Amino acid sequence: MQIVVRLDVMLALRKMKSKDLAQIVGITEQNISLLKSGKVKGIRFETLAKICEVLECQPGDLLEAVEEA
Amino acid sequence: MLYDPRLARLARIMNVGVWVGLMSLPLSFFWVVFTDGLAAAALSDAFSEIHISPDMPLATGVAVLAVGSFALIAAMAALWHMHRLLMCYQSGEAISPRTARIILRIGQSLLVAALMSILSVPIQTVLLTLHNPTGQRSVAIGIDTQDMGFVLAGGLLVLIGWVMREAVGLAEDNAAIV
Repeated sequence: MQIVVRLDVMLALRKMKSKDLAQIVGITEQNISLLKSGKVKGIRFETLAKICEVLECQPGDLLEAVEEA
Repeated sequence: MLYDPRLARLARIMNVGVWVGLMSLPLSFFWVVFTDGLAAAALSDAFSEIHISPDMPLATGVAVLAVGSFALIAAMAALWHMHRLLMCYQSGEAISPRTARIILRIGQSLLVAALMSILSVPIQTVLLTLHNPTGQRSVAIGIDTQDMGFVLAGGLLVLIGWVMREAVGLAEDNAAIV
């Protein structure tokens, strides 16, 4: 089982750019990019909560557990 | 990155001390050479526990100095690595693979300096008494508090270097968490 990040979907739905999200949440644009591509080892609850607040969504909208191919 | 500006400031101050050590160690070495410190009389003062023949050739004095230089070189290597570490701290680099490696090198250099210091005493005393009449040759073995200090400090820094390597791994893992 692996965790897939659906941040790009939420950003598209909310019509927000990665750069703007990074600025509001307080992390670098590079980290947003790494998060979108799933190349991070984890996400702090604080960061997740801020992203959910900005994008007006739930953690389940951003993270999905899928079976490994 | 270092967040406390005091660390960079202290590193800068300590670097001055390290440079003084790096300059003064070879200067003291050359001072011995150029102030007749290799002569039998001068060496008798330095090695008061053994009898040195007044007919000891200068080449023996040079050999004694050469043996003693190994510990000096190792000590200078430790100081050089300290300089490299302090330069990293000055630039804000604290927990990195490079600083972990340098700390390990400082520890290893101090251990080598202690070992060379301990080994040099018997070798030097054999050389110094080689020209004595039969029955008046001797070998001295000694470990002083400075040697013990180098062993403890060196061993501790080797351990800290290994721990820093683990810390670097943890820091890299932490950096991968957004």
